[in-house]
Amino acid sequence: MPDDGKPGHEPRGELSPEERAALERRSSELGRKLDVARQTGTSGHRPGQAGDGAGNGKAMGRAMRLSAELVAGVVVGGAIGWWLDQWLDNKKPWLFILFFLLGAAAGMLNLIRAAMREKTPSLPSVKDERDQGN
Amino acid sequence: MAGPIEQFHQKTLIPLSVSGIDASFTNAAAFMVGAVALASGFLLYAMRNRALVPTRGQSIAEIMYEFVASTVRDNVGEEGMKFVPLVFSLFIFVLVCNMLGMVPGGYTVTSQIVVTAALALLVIGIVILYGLWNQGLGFFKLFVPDVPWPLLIIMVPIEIISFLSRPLSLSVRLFANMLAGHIALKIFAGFVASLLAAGAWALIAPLPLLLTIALTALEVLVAALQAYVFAVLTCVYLNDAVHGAHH
Repeated sequence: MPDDGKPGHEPRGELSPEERAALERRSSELGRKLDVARQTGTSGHRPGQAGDGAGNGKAMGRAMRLSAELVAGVVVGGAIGWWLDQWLDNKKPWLFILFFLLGAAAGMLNLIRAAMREKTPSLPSVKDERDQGN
Repeated sequence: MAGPIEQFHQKTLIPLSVSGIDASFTNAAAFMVGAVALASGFLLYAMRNRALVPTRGQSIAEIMYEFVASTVRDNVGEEGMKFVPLVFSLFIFVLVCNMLGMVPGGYTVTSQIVVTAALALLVIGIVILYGLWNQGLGFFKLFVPDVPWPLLIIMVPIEIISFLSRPLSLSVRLFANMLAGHIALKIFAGFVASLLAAGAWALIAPLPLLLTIALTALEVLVAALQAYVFAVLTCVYLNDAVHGAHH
């Protein structure tokens, strides 16, 4: 029932000033929430809700991709050191230890580069260099 | 019941021996030939009309080409466009091999490290040869980062090891993802059968079944993603050969 005898009721479809103010407050509040959601990059879905499984899968994939970088550096460094020790007939595996550590450093370097690459998919620094090179 | 790694066993289909070397045609070889035949067959069939307004098949072929071409353009630039055929072939081959592995009863060629290592060595070989041809000895500036000179004593070996570890990480990443994924699938699927055979425990048998379904979906995603990662990293490494040092 539209006209149920409220004191000072408006014609249908019109908003009273208080209602209009409340609506504006709500819309600006919603806009603020959207900005926050956009900045934090969660795009709406809360942790623990549907879509979290996909996030876990993504993180798992990222871990698999990045861990290969670290492992490869250590393995290659260790292999080079071991091979050099064999070749030089060293009594003590000091080259193995040295190259193992260098390999670990190289693995970290790989890891950092891979992580940076994933953060910025199109590598702006590389593009700058290309521009200078031409 | 078959063990979780039985799916990776190579079965000889046609015994063949070249001067004492076992060169038999195995199920792995059959799936590789199948992947190449499927990919080239589809692309040739889809592009047979070369219509200005593409059919559905031609659209798929064009989208795949555009996708690889834009990946190469973003990562290597216009000078790298001559590598599009290489990257496209690698991407499609890895993608089709991964996807054939997802077909029940199929064989995952990319879960064999010898296959992924061969692909990675091909990539790194091309990077080295093209880099030397393109930049001469300047290619080795790749190993000299932009740091104060006393640090070079330690940084140059680190950079060299970092470069040498590329084929390893490239091949291990693809191989490990496919191997681990397929083993996980097999194990969880095996739980369903074991639980069903274990009396009252059969009541919770649907749980691993649900997990297997979810894992299958995840594995399809991983199969596509790993092919893409392989293509992107190929581009990143080619970028060094085309444009030289410094990341």
